[in-house]
Amino acid sequence: MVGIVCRLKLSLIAAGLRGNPAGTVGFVISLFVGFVVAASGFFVTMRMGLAFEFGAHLMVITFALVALGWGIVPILAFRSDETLDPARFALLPVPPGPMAGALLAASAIGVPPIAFTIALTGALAGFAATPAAVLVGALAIVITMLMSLLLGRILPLALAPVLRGRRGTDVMIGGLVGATALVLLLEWAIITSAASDVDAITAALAGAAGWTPPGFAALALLDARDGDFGIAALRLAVAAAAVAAVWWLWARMLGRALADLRVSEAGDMKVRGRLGAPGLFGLAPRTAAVVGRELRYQRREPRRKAGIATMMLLFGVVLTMLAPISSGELGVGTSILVTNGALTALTLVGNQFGLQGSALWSVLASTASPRELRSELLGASLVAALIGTPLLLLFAALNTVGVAGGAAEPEVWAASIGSTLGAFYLALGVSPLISVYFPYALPDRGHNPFAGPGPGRGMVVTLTMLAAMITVNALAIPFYLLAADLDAWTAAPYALGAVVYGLAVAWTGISLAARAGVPRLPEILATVSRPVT
Amino acid sequence: MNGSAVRARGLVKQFKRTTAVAGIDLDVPTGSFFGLVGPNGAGKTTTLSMLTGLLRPSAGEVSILGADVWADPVRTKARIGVLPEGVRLFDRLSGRELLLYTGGLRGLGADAVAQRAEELLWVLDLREAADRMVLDYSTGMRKKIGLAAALLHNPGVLFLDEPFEGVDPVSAGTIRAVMERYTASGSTVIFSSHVMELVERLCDRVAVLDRGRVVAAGEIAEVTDGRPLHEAFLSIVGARARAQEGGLEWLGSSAG
Repeated sequence: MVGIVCRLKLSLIAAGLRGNPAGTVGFVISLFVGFVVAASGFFVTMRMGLAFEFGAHLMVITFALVALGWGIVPILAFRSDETLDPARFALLPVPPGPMAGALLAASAIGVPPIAFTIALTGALAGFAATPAAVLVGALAIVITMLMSLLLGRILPLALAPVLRGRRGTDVMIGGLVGATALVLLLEWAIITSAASDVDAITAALAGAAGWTPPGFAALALLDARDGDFGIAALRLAVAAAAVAAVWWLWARMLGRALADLRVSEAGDMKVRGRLGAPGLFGLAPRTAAVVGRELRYQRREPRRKAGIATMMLLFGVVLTMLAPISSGELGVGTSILVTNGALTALTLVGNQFGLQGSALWSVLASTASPRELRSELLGASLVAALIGTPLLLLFAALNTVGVAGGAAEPEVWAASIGSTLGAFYLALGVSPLISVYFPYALPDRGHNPFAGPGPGRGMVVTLTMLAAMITVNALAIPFYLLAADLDAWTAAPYALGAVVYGLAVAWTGISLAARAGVPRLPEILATVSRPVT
Repeated sequence: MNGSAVRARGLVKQFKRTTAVAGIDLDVPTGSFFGLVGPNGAGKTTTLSMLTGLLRPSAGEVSILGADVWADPVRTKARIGVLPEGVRLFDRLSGRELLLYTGGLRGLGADAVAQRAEELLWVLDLREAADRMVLDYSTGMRKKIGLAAALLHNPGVLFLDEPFEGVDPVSAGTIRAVMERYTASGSTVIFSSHVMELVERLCDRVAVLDRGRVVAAGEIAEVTDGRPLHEAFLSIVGARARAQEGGLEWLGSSAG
């Protein structure tokens, strides 16, 4: 079974590349990136072996971080590995256990898992001197990678039913906000208690990381280095048991998810009619119709809700990153604020035709002029702004308080709000253009709204996003120049100017995309309605 | 009948190395009920997509009610209604919301849309389901709500790709009745189907497609030459019934 499924994945990857030059280029680049990650990771983890206690702490943290990253990144980047749709195997006479094992083995095939395994192998060179210690270390790496792969698949699966429900999303968003606040508080406590002592912070973090299964496995390698093979074996056994438990949980959840593929939790529940808000905001009927549709989709479609969940997670990560590095100084975090605002827009409307999938034909059937396409793009952007603006304001407020404490100066507020919202609107101008020029199909997976863009396409999408980020950052140069020198007098004009400038760019981008998009619509439809294997 | 509702000349669609449509000429007179038949893979869906401006032809021209589909999309798109194969709709809207949305997209006034939507929902027997998400509809209901959306702006020409596929007899009867009423007023319907009896009963003209070409076209009586359409179709496309020949000895004798 394992062999068959692995071969199937290889042939799917190959089929995704055949006759697809962009995909092939993307794959070659991902090979290159994988090589860089593997080589530099190997070197860094090896060097940790030379730095005594500090290096040992770093190694334990690294093992835990790798697993944590594998768990979170699929949700953050919409890249849950679903090259093999588990639903396709539901009819085969194979029990869920072996099936889950085969799928797990298949998910180890790919550039990222191989690159990270090689990177961790550096720890063997750095910490293991005897053959027995090498063996312990190798087992620790296997356990860590298995845990990583499992977390990468179990979290999207666990979130999916929550996203299908109506109220679940609100609960989850609330939970994420709460978790972020908690991490911020914790961070604050660590920074204030041991601000200057890097060794102490590392030791504290390693202490926490050491209690995770990958951290436990990493500690086993340290025990083996010191000759304590009994304790090493015990630690490995515990870590392996944790992996087995997660694997069992995943197999069970997978079995349940596949036998219960309800598309909507609503079932036959009635939804309220009367679409749109025509007349409200003085919108044209066409734009109002699109706004009505998009608002309902944000509430009702798991993939859109997954987008909002991703945004919240991103906010949490950014907030916890920003507080320690910017240390209250103006302008230091501007690039992170710009990135956060831009990613929010790209998550919401970066691939708006792909989100519509083959239903796009109905838009195409009634769209013949740039003005009509502009209504479509404008409607989607308005809804994105309606959702993004209050959330980003909340984010900017939390950031200001997090960075400067309760008594923040007006210029800190202005820098935070202006840069964040300005970049968000700038990216709302860039998003329609990449939606028109680089659309991609999304797989239709009832059980996994985080499923990525299909084999061989991931790197192309990443490159597109990267190009969009570079464009937004270039457009945001005024923010970089001005944010650091704000004072009480320039604070308000800066915030206002950034928002107006962003909105102007958004309008320009929407108009340009509408003009460029109309003649391309048949090709866009063909691209986004192609089924993703 | 005055002039062509749809006129296609030399329509070709090439996908990389395969030719899906290999040069099609079609003339559909205004007010006709036109059937497009052919085996799977004959190019029916590709042809309909090119006729309606959803798929760009590799070569050839299409005009609808005198306007070129690809040169003057604004005029043609306002005058046609489309129900594509598989009916992928914005299915997280309720049936009623979908119609109101489509009306807004077509630039119709809110009151007119609301009134038309209610009438269509009633005629197509969808009133009870009007407030449920289209996602939860059966195939027949999806086809019906798709038809309602295609008719909402009162198009001059209606294109339907397999409107009866997977539809139960009751819904099929409803769809048929609406289509007949629509053509009786002088509008044009073009639809593709596998159901020969239905095509024979409904259509006054038919075109038979095989391997991307029109192999027979004209009034039903000309094409069938007195035979049932089903027989005429099989003889035109050349039935390939391998199942009656050798092989498959292992099938059905025992398990395993």
